[in-house]
Amino acid sequence: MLTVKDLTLSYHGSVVLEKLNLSLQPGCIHGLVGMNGSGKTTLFHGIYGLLKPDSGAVLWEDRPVSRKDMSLLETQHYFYPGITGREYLGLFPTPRAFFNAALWEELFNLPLDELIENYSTGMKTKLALTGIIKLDKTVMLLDEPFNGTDLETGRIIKLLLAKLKEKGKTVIVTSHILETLTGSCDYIHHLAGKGIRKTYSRDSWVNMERDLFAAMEEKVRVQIDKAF
Amino acid sequence: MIGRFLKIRILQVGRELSSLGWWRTVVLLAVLAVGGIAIYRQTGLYPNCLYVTAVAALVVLGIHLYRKDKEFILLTGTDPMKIYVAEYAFFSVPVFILMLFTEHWYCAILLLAVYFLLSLIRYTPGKKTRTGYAPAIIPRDNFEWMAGIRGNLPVILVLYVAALGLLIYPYASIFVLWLLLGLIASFYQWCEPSDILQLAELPPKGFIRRKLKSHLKGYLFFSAPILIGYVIFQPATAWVALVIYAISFINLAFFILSKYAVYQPCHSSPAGNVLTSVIHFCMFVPFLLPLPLLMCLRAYKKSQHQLKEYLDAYR
Repeated sequence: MLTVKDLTLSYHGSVVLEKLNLSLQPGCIHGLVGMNGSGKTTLFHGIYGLLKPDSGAVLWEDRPVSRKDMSLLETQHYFYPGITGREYLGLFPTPRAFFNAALWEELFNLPLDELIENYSTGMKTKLALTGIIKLDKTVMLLDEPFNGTDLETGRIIKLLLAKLKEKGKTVIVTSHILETLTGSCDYIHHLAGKGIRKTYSRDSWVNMERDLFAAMEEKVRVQIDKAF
Repeated sequence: MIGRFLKIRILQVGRELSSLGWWRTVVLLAVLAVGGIAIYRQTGLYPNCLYVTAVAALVVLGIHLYRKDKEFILLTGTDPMKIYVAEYAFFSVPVFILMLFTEHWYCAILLLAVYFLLSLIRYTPGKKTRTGYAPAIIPRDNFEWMAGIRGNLPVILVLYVAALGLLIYPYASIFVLWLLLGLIASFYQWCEPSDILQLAELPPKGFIRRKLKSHLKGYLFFSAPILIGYVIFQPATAWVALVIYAISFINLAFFILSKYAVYQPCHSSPAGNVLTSVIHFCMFVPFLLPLPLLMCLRAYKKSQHQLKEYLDAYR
């Protein structure tokens, strides 16, 4: 179980998350939704240890979480200039012999022998995701893995998430497109007001959509009407 | 328009200098002063004056070939040749003045004429999109050398062959090796993303030690044929080569450490770039020889502190 306990995180002096509590079932796919600026990336950075918490703790199986248990796919993918996709993947250690670059090259249709700077946004996402999968960590934090990907790749990522679950990984994934999460997650956690507002399981997706959008849609409809 | 371009260049130089801090600026000025004296003295002698002119032209050729704003200058609609010549001439004014005060004053005019010819070059060495240009013998975790060699392979090959070919002349190969090390310094200007930094899962100290060991070993293999050749062909001055060789390792360590001393994911450091050049020039200034070692120790300490944020979780 990955447990976030009373976690308070600040960014540039302002509190982004305050006394946040969250329990994540192991071996499940967890979605994290929230408006822009609600603190999804900050929470990932807090769990991964890139941001030092003001207070609180992140525990994995009742002990402080170690970065060695986790991998993080960031929203923005930066790559070292002048290296190819294959060389980039070569930097990642392979804990087990399961990784076969040729299979991933074919699966994601990646030109691994080209310089990464020539890749499209979607290709860069796929390459970064391949590197994360190669690390084979128990907990995977995937910040916007569907960004910039085409329909086919989106579908492949969904199938990959199912495979990761099958292999017993605990995956936390964010997305701006709700359908990508409802199609692949076991639980979806709604981040708002500096904390987790509610956790939804598969059987309550309908309630979630209503909760998330009802108030907002009403307000936006009025604004659109005024604008026209 | 030329005046505006020059103004921008002056502002850029001002920013670079202000990012250096006062003591680095003093070191830079000391190196420039020594360089100025050397230019003045050597231009007074024949045929050394021609060598000085050739070296200055080569430096400007390198800058011209690799400058990244060629397309931008074309977009402004001004005659690019005028802008190039004006910039190179403007920043060469101190060199011109020094040359004009010697009996070989015509070298200044010769250098200016070369600038006109250089400015006609539109060619920019392109980056290759295939792996063929990064030798497979480079260890796969040495991405700096992979990218650096891929981007500069023709220049590196020419210099390496020149270093081997010049072994019959005293000091020449060592000078070329110094140029090569200057090029290698540019491999460390760009900071890798944090996910690459964290792949070794080592705390700052362990990470730095591993990096230094691996890269110094790489340089040893790269440069050993030149040094061994030099010792065989030039036994009389072999000790000088060995001293310079030892200092070059300190310099390389400094280039690596200075990257991590100011590490920010995916950024390059302007202060670091200027400073590495200054430190590299210190090899020719005897009273500044201890500086690379001192700077190395300082950068080591700073890098430990700077990497804490990213690697402390692996303690």
